[in-house]
Amino acid sequence: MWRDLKSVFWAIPKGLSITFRYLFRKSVTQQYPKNKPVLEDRYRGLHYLTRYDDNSERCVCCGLCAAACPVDCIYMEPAETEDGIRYAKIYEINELRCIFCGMCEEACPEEAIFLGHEFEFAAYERDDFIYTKEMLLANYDNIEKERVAKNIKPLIRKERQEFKTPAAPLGH
Amino acid sequence: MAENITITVDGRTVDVPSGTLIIEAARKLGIEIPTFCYDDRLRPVGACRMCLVEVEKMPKLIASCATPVAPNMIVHTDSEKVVKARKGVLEFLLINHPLDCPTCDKGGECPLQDNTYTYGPAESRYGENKIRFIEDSKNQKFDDIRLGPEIFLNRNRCIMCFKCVRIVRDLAGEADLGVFQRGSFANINVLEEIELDDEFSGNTVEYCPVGALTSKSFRYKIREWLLKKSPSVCNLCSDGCNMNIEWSRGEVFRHMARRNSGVDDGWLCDRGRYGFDLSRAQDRLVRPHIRRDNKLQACSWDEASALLSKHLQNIIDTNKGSEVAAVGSPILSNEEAFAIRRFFSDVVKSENVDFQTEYPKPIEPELLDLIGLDGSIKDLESDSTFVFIGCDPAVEHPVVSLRIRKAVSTYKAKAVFISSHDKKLGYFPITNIRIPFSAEAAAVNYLVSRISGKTTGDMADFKIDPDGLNRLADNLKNAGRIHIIAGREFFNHPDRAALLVGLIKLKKSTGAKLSILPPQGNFIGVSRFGLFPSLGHSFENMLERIESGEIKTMFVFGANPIDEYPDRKYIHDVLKNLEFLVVVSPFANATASLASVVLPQAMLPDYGGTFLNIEHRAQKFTPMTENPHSDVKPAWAILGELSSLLDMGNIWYSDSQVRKVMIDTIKEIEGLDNLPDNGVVIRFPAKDGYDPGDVSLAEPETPGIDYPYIMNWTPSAHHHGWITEKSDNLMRISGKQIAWMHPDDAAREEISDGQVLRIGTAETALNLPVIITTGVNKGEILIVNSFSANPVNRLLKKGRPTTFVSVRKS
Amino acid sequence: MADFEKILFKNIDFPDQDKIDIYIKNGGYNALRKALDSMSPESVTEEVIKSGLRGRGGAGFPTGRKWTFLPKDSKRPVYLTVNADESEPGTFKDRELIEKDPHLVIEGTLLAAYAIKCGQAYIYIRGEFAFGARQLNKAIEEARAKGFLGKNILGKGVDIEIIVHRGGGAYICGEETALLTSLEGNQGYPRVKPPFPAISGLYSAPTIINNVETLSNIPYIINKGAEKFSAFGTAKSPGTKIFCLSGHINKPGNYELPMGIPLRELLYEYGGGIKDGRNLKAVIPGGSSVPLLTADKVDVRMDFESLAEAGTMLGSAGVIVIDETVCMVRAAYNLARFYQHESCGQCTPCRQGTYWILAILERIERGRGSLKDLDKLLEICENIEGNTICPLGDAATPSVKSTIHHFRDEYEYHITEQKCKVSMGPRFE
Repeated sequence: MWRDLKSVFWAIPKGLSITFRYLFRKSVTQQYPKNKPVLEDRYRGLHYLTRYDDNSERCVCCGLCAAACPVDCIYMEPAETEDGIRYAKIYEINELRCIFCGMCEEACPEEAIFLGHEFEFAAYERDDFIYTKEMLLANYDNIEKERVAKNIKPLIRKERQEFKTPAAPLGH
Repeated sequence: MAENITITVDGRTVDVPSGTLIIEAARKLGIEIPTFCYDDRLRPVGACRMCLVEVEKMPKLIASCATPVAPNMIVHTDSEKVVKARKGVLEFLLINHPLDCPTCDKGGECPLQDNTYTYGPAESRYGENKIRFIEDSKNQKFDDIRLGPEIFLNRNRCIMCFKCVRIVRDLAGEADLGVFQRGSFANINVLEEIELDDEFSGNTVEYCPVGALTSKSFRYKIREWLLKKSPSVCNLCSDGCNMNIEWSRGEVFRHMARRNSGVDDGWLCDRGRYGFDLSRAQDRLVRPHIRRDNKLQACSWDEASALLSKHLQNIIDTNKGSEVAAVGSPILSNEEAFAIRRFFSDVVKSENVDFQTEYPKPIEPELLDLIGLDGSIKDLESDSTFVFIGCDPAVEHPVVSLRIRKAVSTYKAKAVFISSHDKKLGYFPITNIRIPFSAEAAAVNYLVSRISGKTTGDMADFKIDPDGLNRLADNLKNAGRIHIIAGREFFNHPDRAALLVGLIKLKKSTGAKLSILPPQGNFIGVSRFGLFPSLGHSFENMLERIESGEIKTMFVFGANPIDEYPDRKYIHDVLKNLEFLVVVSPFANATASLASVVLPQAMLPDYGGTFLNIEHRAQKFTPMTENPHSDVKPAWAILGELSSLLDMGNIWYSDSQVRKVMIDTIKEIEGLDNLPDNGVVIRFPAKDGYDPGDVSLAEPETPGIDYPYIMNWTPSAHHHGWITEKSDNLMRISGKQIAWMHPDDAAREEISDGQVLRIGTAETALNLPVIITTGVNKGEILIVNSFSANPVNRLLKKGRPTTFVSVRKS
Repeated sequence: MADFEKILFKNIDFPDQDKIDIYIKNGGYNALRKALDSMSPESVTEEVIKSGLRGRGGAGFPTGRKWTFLPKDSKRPVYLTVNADESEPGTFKDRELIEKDPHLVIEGTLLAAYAIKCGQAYIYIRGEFAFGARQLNKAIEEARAKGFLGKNILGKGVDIEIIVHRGGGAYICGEETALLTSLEGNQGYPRVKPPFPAISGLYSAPTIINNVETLSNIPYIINKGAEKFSAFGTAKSPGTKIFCLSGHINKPGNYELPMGIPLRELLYEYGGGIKDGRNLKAVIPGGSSVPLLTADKVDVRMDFESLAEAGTMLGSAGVIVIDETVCMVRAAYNLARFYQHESCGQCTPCRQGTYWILAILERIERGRGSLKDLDKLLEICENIEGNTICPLGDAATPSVKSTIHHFRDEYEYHITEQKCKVSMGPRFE
């Protein structure tokens, strides 16, 4: 009976000692939303559509991102400007369906679509998660442009069709 | 005498007739040799060098697409040398090829992409600038230059396979495309004053192996892998070319050819190919409408069917079936025609069923056995003489005319047109024998007399110049396989009875084949399967009975009599006499605007069924499997629903069900149920030799002083009938409405080329620009194309076989 | 310099040789008379076969044997085309014959037409030879007036017509099937062989195409006999050849000499030696489409087999002499320009390959080359050769390949130092 009393008596201090030990340790809890998490460079968050240096959209609506997407969350309709440049008349990503795998980013031949660092885009309605082209461009213009400038996902081509210079006449 | 030769390809032997190309022999074994410039229907050029194979005992690699087999040849298609050569060729093709894949329409269905992936080098070693063509003689400064109203060309992407040039020049016989410059700066283009606007230009886009040629209607619309394909058959002419309707999410994006070697051989004319936007025309009807307060208001199917069934129940109960008439259209499907006849004869008990809204006089029943192609479409290639009377194959049967063009260009056949205006088959050599308007019957009689050596009678009344006919008669006496073909102008000929007699006599005296070809899509099908009128109940009779008040109700299925009947005022007045007009139509049109009830009819991509083409070949067409228009129904579905409401007759719910009943009723069509991909030719038993007896020729009418010109009109290849006017694509491609006038007449009236004229009868007039040409007779005016803004049938009058007009500057 | 009775150039410098009276006085049209009088067409062909005459246009195919390829029972007429489209760089022999002795060409054509039973012959002359075309047309009219041409020649019931057709200025039309396509009125695109022109050529009829020089040999063969002809030259390359000397040589021009003459003799005895006494660097012996010979090979004999053994070809015998002041890169660049410009554009390897070669060589000339370019050039050449429809692809590569093979150091100097090793001044500013 005395042995039982001893274990009962020391049980609480033994448990509390663990608590006290951890009380003065540094906590690993992040105080979100006061402290935002530090994300790696290649973190895959909300998409953004990039622009060239002259502010024209990069996306030519080729359809490769939609074809690469494993969950079919991208819908697009191409169109043509008066100068004969192909662009996306409609470009929508269903962010709820998206699994943020980054296949679209890898497939894009024009460096047009990337996944950025935004993850705070909660909304109340399902419809608000269909991100249109304007919203994705706005994401780039307002937020991601600065991050890109810091070379987090650097863009290699600076202007449209750099490779398409006419050939100098040969042999003259 | 083709003996068989045995060759060995990759270790396997195959027996082929001598003259077969190596690439075809390999294909027989299932070995696909990659090519770009080879097409088995075009003459081989061996230009792309992709098909090089190694043949033992030959020092160099051989182009398998241009070399016929030789006995005991041993061919290797995947040896080291061949693999290296293919890689080299692809590398060469890619050095000047622009990096356009993201913006190029061909991506996803591009043979260059596919072959590079399979056989090509993985990396590019080319570090120089690529050749870029951006300017051309029409002062266009883009990479994509406009060749015509529909076709764009990007010369940077062109790999010089010459397929487009061969299609346009060798196959169609139009001198539109050509190669300019030489060497690496060679490029394909059109001359400054020329546009690529012939009837087959769409084929160049389909068969171009890269995205150099693109069509405006498909440009930047969608990617190939998103398209679903439904096999179908075109119904805009009676050739019945097979095609695939390519659609996505219920919207049709294009028509592509589906090769049927017996009919179209993989070609599509521009009318069928670019007419795909008919199903999303602005005037498309998608809801039923009922006339209330003198306005057509949209309503639901329940309302419309209830109203119709009440009206019909009344008629059935009071046994007044003879007060009802039904008019179909020659582009309805076979099942629709059968259902209409069944419903109106069994349920409504009315004999008034017809479809010939375009002709003032109905076709004689015995003529039904003569309508259609004598022989098969493939046989046309081996005929040696063609005599066209009242037929313009380039306009009425474009893809079948390709067979005739092949006979003329490759096998040196002769083609003769007996007509009042000049016709042509591309630039291939043909003969135009000019006769006055409506003198075809007299001309044929003349030929018959001359061939059989009898006296030719007095042709002076008909003002026919006998030289050409004399030469033709002499040629026909020993001309090999002769084929006499009559077409659109036969059916509405003012003297059709006499012309038919003449044609039959000509056939008998020369031993020729005689084909009478209706231009409309399923004329033969609807005639055979139910819409052919019984005696005394033709459309002409119906109109008389409407006028007299005997017929009070009319159902119109797909037709548009106001635009089709050759007297616009008359038909308008007659139809207004009706108490109850029901129009079932896919489009809002002039007739529908007079209706009491308008029901939306299903169009080609919306439902399934079968058609009969000029060969009597039954071919199946299938619908899209997703359709945003849930309210459109084919005629048999509408009548099936009415049957269920009336509790009488067959309740049709699918086209295969209709077909089953059809087969039970008409035993010749047993094969209709299980049609193979190529369709099946149905032989209807011909009644004993039709002898229409002798019919005297009608006297030609002479013009008066006030109206001195005879008016004739013709549709064109892209715009044939009122339906094609609803297609934006076809209206963009088709020519304008113009009038042809002879230079002597123009000089006398002091009219210059391009001037707008007022061409008028005593009642009304049309305003058109004029083209001065010797292609039309003196004293005649030919109007090309009829548009709803300027309809030609406004000038025509019932009971007046020849229309006389006056011409004033407007 | 041993004098011998020339076959082709016997009267080439005789004043007014182009007039028919002088030509006849100098023994002209005797062969035609002899053939029509006493020889059948088959025996004319026999004589030509016996003489061993080989084609002088570049391919060197035995002429008589080519004539026997015609089908015996063709329903279509037989055509003869004379290839006067002399566009091979370094070759100008036909021009001299046409301009100075056109009747020799006409007589050779008539004899050949008689031998192959052809009633219509065409002379396809390159468009730039306006004077030559005028000479030929004049000669044809003179011959017709004298009854040597046209209907019932010399009263023997033989009809032969000759038409002179001027080309539009394309080297590719010297290739036989392109010549036929151009003669038919189309763009000069070569055709795939088989079918060979002897079976299906002009307008799908059996056609023989012979070079001007080849046919000009035939009057001599008929007059003097096949043995006398084959006494000249070597066993496998009998007869004489007109060698066109050009380049850095003291006495450039046409020289008719027996086949098998050593190159050294040609250059130093007849040609007068290298200009300004400089050193020989290389010789292209057969027009620009054959590999070059370096200076140490100058003892080779000029006939078909010896040159083939030496790794090059006799071709059209346009001997281009290159001395030590020429940068071989510049020479290859000039020739690459020619072939890129003359490619017809039908088949992929030639059309794109010649462009690529020119682009790389131009980049090297502009001083932006890299050492990897040389192997790239050799691989491009390998990919072109043998994969083309016509031999222009095979003709474009030897200049590049042989200059890189023999003078690789000059290329490397060009690339690393960005200037010519032999200080030839920059090509581009």
